[in-house]
Amino acid sequence: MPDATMPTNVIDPTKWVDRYSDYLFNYTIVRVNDRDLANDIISETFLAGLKSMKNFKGEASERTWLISILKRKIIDYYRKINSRKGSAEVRINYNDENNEGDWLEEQAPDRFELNAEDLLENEELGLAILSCMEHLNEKQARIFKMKTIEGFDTEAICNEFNITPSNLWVIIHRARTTLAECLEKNWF
Amino acid sequence: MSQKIKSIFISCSDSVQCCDRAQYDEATIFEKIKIYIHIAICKACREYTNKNVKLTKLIKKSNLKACTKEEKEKWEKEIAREAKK
Repeated sequence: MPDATMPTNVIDPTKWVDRYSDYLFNYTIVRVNDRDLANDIISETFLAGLKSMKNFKGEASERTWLISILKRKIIDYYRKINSRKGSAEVRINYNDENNEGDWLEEQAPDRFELNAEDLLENEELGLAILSCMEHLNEKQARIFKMKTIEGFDTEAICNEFNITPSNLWVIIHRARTTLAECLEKNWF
Repeated sequence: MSQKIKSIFISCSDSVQCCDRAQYDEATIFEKIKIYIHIAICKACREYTNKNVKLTKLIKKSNLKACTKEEKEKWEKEIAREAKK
């Protein structure tokens, strides 16, 4: 029976990967810049989420809750490498002539011209697009991602989902219309 | 009007469909010309085309990445294994 105090957000770990893995992945990859590492951190996040599922009160959305766990995992990672880096740095001696090469490398300017503000804006945009995709149904979202983000051929997607090209274009059209509507307020 | 000239004018639904395909570089040059002719006279399709192009640009700019199927399967297995415990 419905209860007045029942939380509006329920938790369902079997849907986590399908619903949130791309969001978590894009959130992580810009922060750790390494695919394998991002994968491990997301694994840890899911497992930590499972363990603390009973603490989920349903006040925030499932995704917000998972992101809060993910943030902690990313911070943990940086703490770990920072403590390691500290012990290594003690041994570096810049006065040693043999190490001249390393010194020069550290002095080199950053190769990438993109400034931090651009990167932040692009990340925010990416996450906005992914959260708008949550308005799509599962099949629409999957097909749209395969076509648009992963760049699969029309034919390959049609074979995988057993649909005709005109079915595919109808799905793509609906997805694009939904996304454009959702993004319109903040990004158009 | 001869058949050839008629074929230059397309319906709104054809225009929209071609426009969607054009976002994935799957429209021919002739189809693109037909879209331009259509949107020159049809305001609704013009607006749709503008939005659609904007969406393509935004997606490109966002540099979104997708997880592979294998990565997702691995996580799913891990979650299923842990949930059994």
